[in-house]
Amino acid sequence: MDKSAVGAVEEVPQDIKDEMGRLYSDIPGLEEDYELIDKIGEGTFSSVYKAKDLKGKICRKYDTHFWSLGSKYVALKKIYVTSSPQRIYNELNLLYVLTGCTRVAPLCDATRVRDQVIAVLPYYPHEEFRNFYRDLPIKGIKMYLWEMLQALSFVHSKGIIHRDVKPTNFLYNPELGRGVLVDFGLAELQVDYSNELAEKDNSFSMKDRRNQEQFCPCILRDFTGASPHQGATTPMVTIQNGKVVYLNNVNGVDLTKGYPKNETRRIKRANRAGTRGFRAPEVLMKCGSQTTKIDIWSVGVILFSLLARRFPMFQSLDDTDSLLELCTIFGWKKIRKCAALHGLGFEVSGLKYIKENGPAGELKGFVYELLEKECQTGTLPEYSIAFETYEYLSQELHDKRSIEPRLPDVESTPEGPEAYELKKYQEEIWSDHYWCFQLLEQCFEMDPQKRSSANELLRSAFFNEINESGVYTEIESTDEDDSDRSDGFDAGENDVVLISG
Amino acid sequence: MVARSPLRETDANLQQRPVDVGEDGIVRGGLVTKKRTLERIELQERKKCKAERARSIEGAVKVNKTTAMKNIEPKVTPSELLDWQNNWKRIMRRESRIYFDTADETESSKLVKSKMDKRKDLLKSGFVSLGAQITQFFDCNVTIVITRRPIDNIHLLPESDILSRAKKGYMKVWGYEKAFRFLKNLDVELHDLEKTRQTWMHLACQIYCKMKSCMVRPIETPGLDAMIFNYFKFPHVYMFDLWQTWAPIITLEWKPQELKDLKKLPYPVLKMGTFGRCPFIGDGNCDETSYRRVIKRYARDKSNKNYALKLRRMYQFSAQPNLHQQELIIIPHTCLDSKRCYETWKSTVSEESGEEEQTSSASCKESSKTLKIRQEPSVEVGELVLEPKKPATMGLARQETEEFPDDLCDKKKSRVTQEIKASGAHQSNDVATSFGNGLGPTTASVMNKNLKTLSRLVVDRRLGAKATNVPHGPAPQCNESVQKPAEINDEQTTKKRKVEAKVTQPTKNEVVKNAGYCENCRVKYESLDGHIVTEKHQLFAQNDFNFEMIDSLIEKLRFQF
Repeated sequence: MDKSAVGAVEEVPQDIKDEMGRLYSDIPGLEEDYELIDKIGEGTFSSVYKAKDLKGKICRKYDTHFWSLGSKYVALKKIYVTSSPQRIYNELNLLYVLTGCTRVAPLCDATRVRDQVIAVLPYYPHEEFRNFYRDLPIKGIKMYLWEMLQALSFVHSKGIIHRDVKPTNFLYNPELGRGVLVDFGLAELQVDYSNELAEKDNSFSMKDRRNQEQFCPCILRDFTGASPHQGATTPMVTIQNGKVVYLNNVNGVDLTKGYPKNETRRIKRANRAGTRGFRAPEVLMKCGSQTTKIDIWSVGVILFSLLARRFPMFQSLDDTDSLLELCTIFGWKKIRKCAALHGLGFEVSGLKYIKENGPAGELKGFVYELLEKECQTGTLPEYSIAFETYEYLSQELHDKRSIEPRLPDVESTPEGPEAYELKKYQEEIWSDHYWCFQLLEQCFEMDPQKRSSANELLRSAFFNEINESGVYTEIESTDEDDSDRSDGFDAGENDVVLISG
Repeated sequence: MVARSPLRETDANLQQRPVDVGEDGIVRGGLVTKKRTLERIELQERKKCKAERARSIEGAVKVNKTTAMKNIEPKVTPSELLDWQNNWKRIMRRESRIYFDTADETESSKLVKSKMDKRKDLLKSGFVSLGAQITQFFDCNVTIVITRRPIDNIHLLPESDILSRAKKGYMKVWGYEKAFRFLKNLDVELHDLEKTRQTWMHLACQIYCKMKSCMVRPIETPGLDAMIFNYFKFPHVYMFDLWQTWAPIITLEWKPQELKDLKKLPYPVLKMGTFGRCPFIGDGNCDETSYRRVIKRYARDKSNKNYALKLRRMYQFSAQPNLHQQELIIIPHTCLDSKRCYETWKSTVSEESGEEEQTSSASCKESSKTLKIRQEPSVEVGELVLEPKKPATMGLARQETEEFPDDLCDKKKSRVTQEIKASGAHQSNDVATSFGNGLGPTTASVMNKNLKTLSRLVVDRRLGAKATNVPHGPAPQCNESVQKPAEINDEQTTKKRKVEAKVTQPTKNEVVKNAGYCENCRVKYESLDGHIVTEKHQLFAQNDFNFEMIDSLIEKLRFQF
């Protein structure tokens, strides 16, 4: 409530008052419906203002969306005039389509004067991620993720990819345990690849497909998960009209070791919109057939931040850096395997700190190392909740003999009934951690097809207590899971057979 | 007049020897000569240096012109030609160093010149395809000089001229015509080569395959590969299309010296860091164990304690937040924490009290604070840190706001939420062009606001705009923080802000320049306010037709009420 509380006390600076004054004069009639209170956000494509719904029309109509009963506040999103009408329409229309889930901000009203478009959304009194990511207990993380995955489950069920899932676009109120997904400025409809593949049109050969930007070999895989081109470094051979054609190693020209000086091939383009550090590997690799799974990766990055108590987790100055950052955490071997899924070869050589494998113990090991660093330097407060995760990991990774949670051996450890309480608490927390790390690994699955969907994640044992309580379930029935599965490719195309070796 | 027989030039490695041209006009010595040449080459392998000189002796044979015209060309047998070709191919691969004369014919026009440049490139590729070395600079190891100047009167040129020096050094001096003839006789198909260069990747590797096989089958041609390819020699990152349909996604190579400084590596390195910082950025210059930081952190953690414990309580037993007060269960820990750090420092300081020491750099900088502690050891730290207010002046203020990466001790830098910015629908990898609002068509990644401000400042300077006054207001946080000493509690924040607002008032009127890209006009602009009043933009804005879709959606929405 940092925001609202401070907003009440704080005086609005003059320049913001001026700005709001200008907005009144730009949009005739705005003053009758809304009273601008303060500016609460500034993004790439818009500014957001907190306003009072003077007539109460919106608050009444969308009352289920508002977090507090009788709320009078709305958020006015002023979309910058430099955005194209197509982009604005896309965003507003998706918001309109997505009205109907309390975890997605609905479009309540909109207005346009010349090129200035204002969207009206409910106002959500949330807390900034920066203010709680170091202090949110594991069960708080659970609720945060639950809300986020519920929102994504709904969005994905409509075939929409959000593309920009990150803490600033998920407004969460820890005290209410409620969250809402906002900002669909980069969202898009997922192309249905299964139909395309179902058409067994022979005139449309594999070779032609390779020339299409929309195409990515990652969708041409069958259920067994066997990739037709796993050996990324071995020379590729195709058989065309009975002739063997070497693709990578043409009479000594090894295209895995160098590239033409005078590049005449086209540069592959793909939608890469999103925020640095939150983009899935397939986005960085310009996969032409991106799916809703890219949002799940972003969820993983957020969860990573919450568990390791670091934000941001990635610096990612550009796409290449992003990939190399993934290499340092996962090892280049995994990234190469992932690249092969998208028909790409990947070579890293001679870089001292980029190794074949990531830190020992993989993700858990890395989170442990990060926490250990803070535990050694003393940068966590004495009341920090992060010590729980640290203790859990040090037992899990370094003390394999005892599976049972152990309390640290210090004087302050209580005895008797109190100890029993503590033990019970610890067991519960330990099991939460176990499932939570499993969830993290599911989010960071390199293969988008194998990466769990929002619905699958919601069924994780991590969420058992919430699922069992039944209060919070609001999953709309979706068949997204099934459609995900059905786009396996029937390798019936005979004109090109790929042999790896 | 003397004509030169092309075949005769094979004698390059031989001393000029008498050639007997028979009455029937058949060159009898030819075959023998070439065979000998082959043997010689073998010999030369052993005494290379010597041989180089010997071979350089010009071996063109003078024959009667009519004889040459009439007899020689048609009389060359295929086997002779093959020998000659193989001989020269060996020479080309083993020891030819070709220098292209840079001087032009004096009166050549631009058009002629560009034409000649094209021919030069063609020749170069031809020679390279034979494995010959092309050198950038003229020296005594050059064996063939190719010039576009007339070569008939080299003796008239000044002694310092490259051509006369070449002659003096027994190098071959060829004109372009001759060089082309030479390559043609060696079956180097220059036009194919050129075509391949142009359409090389469209026809992909198959063409190359074909070209190689038809052109110089018996001989390996590493030179051609080197001409067309950048092979990685140094540490690199390479991501490419396995089908080679698309251009590579990443091609990055670093010279060893760029990777020498392990502290400034040009690629992401895990620095780990502490205190919530991005592990790829690390702590930078910030030593979290220093006295000053320990005090600062302790104060921060103290002010944050209530909120953190509230969260603990709420989520202690269930994911559903429980606001009722409940007993707090805390698993004891054995790690170092900010409180212990603080206590350790406190005891160190009180032990040392009395001596007027200035041990660590921290106590040096904060001598005033350290003194305070010594005098009243029981005082709350929060107050202590707040102590240096106005009188602490510039020097201290600057220290307080030393830019540490992502410092949690600094309160929210701006009242308006800033985010790591999303990039638009950018489709390229070109980060260098990142500009303004991020809508630009070529930009790829995202800049955070600080960076953006920085680049804006740079842009402004470059444009020579009167950006002398650093813009204030919500955007440029880095400047704001320079003025703002660390704020410990909200109360002070508010107070401080008011003071600051006054300070910055005069500059407020200056509109913050807002550079970016307009998707509608498809132009980059330096100032948003300036751009939106342009005729083009206004024309677009006034045209309702452009907004038809949005209007119909608004209509739909309104209908619900």
